Amino acid sequence: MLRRIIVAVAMVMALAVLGLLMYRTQAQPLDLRRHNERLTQLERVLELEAAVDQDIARARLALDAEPPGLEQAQQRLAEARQQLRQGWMPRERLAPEIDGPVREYFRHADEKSAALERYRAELQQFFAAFGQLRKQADPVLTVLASDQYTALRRRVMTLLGDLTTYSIQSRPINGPEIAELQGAISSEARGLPPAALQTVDRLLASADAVRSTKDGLQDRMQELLALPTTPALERARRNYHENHARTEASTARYRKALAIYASALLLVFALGGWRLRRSYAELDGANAHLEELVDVRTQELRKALDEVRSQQAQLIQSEKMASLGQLVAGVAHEINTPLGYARSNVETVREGLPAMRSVFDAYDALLPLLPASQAEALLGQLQAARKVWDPVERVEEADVLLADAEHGLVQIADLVMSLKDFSRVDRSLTERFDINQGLETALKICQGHLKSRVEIRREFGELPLVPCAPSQLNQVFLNLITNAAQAIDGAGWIQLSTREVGDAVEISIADSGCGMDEQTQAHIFEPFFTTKDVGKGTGLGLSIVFRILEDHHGSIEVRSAPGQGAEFIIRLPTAREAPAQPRAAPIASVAQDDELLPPVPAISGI
Amino acid sequence: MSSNTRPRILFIDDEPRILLSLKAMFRNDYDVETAVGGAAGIEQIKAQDFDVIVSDQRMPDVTGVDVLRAARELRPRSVRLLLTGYSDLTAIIGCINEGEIFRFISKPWGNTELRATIAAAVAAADVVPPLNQPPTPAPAGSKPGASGVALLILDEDAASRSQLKRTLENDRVVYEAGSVDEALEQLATHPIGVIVTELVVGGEVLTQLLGALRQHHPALVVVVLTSHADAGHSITLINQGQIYRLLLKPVSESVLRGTINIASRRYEMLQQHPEQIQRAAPEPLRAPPPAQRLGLLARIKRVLMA
Repeated sequence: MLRRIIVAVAMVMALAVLGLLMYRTQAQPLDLRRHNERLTQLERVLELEAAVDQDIARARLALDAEPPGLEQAQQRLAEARQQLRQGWMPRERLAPEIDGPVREYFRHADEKSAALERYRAELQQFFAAFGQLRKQADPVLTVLASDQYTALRRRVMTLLGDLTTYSIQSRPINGPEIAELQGAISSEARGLPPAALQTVDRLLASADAVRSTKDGLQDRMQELLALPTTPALERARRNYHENHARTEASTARYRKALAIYASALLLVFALGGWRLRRSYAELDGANAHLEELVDVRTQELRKALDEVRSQQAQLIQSEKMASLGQLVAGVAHEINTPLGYARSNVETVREGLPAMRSVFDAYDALLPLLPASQAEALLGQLQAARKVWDPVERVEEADVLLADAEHGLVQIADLVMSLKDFSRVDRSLTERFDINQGLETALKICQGHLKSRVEIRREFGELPLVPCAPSQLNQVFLNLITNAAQAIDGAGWIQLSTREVGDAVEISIADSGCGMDEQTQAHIFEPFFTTKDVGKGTGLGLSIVFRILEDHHGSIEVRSAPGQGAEFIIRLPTAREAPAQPRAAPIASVAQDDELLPPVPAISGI
Repeated sequence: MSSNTRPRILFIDDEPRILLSLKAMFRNDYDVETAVGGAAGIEQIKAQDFDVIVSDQRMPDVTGVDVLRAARELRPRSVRLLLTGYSDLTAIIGCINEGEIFRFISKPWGNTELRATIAAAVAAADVVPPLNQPPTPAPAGSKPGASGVALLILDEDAASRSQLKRTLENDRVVYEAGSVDEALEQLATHPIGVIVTELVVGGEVLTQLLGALRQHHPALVVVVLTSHADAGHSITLINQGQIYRLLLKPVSESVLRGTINIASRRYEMLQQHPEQIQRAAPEPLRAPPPAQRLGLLARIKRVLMA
């Protein structure tokens, strides 16, 4: 839980940092536009300032009228300044190192505007003065046209030229010469007629006016040029550039940081993805492996289960055989005892019958010798008795009856013997066994199943004795014959055939029963497989058969089709080697001495 | 036992009807006494001498083995038979080794066979065992005087053979055989008195062979030492082979030595008193053996008669 919270917080923080960096870098484009606008505005103002200054300087060259560009330039400058003010003095102030110079610039700019107005006014005055001068020059020159005034005229001409130079020069240096020239002219002009003198005086006055306005203009101009507008703006620009560079640098840093951060984040995500992928791969692998493992385990378990089942089947079977053995032992003893005396008695009595007969004969021979008087009554009795029990017939009859009784008892004895033989409780030994005899024994045991409805056909060949455990083989035969009998509904036949094939004995047990399909055939030797109704069969019979034959190195196969009966074919090797049995050491180890067997008692009788 | 008195037979069974039946059968020919139960039987044996004693095995008070063991001690001359409906292996081995019985008879019996068996037993009882025989064998491990009797070991397992030989060869000459043919060779070439044999050799049960051997070599003392014993075969071994002892593997060394010593003395006794062979006469071979055995029997005959 805590871990999840930590992961969530870390994710949120990582995203927040990413967002911040994005904001920091993404905010720039807007600023950049404004930045360019500002620079443009600034450049334009600087340009126009320069233009105005140029126009101002050019205005100096004009002598009669203000050059037309100045006013326009001033107009444009005013507009540019207006824009500059909007761009550079936004509601939220720019950095003070920019804002200060900007404000300073505007202060100077206002002063400059005022100064410029004044300058222009004075310029008009100068133009007026200069016009006046020019107007008064012509009459003077006309007056001085005569040769006698040639020197004066020359001087006036020089004065006019000097004055023009004075007016045009930015820093006129010929002021003293002009003053000197004026002095010379006025002194020379005294000699002129009064009218001429008057005109010359007026010219001189105009010259003074020109000079003074020009000087005033010069001052205004100096004043104008002294206003530090451009440096302030340039400082602002420099500071702005620096500021911008700083911002740019920090943005660049942020960008770099963003890039690094994003890369790192990407790396982390990639790592996470990779780990996730690897986990999935591992999971997939584990899944696949797990499935494999589960398969293997399932197989093992199934095998173990089969093993357990078959062992269980064997155990059940051996338990069954053991209890059957016990039963047979008890029954055999209990039956054999009464059977013993019953049979013996019948034989003994029967053996006595001829003697009895001869006794009767002797009596019969005696009868005629009796005196008639005494014989009458006895003879009558005898006749009556003989009518009831005729000695001749009845003794013969008794013999027949006793013979039948003996036959029945012998049959019982045979059956008990067969049971004993079958269970072999007293015969565990592997021995050489007459297979045909074993089949007969099994048939005898099966009589109940067969009754008279099933015809038994025998085709017994001459067989060598087969090394085996007879009780187990009897079990095999019994199971197969019982199955065959159960497969027959109503009348039918079972054919038992034996023959020797090479070094094996082949036993075939075929029936005319219902047969089975291939699927059933595939399973019949598996433990607990049964086609009988629940409770009718254990499904063990054929698995036991199979196991027993396996133990005997033999084989069994089945040939059958539904409705066509079934044939089981058993092959048993007749090789001399009996199934392997553990060999016991002949002599017990010393440690066990005298514990296993009590010593044979001393023999005293011989 | 005097010749003018009839042979005396004692029948012991817990079922009186059996006794009645047997009595009815034999009273014409023999003096028949009966005892109901083992304890009563032992009392009878203590009280009187009998030629033949026939006991049931399964009795509620004393078992047939115990009765016959007591009979052997009390009346060594009496020939002992077991008449039983069913016996386990232990009882049968006990009867062979401790009861030294003459025959097993199965219930239900056929009268004819039983008469023949009883007649054989009576005939065997006619031979009085020598009473001067030293009653106890020499203690195990000591040097017995039985060194003159040669021993044959028949066992297909070489390891078992050599182990037996090592145990027994100190006291006597020991021959070995791994197969029936080898055994017959050895019997033909050496004067062998005692044979120690496994019951199953080459996958074959030797009951018939041993029976045949006894037919032709009546003095041969047979000790069966086996891991394959079962009740049916043991009965056949007694009835047709009259084997002397039946031991189960593994057997302790002292028991084995003791058994062989006694067997050797028995052989010597039989050599001295050939008439005693009658007391251990097996049943005559009844069913003709299978064809494949004829050759073997002929060979036995040839070898032993030579």
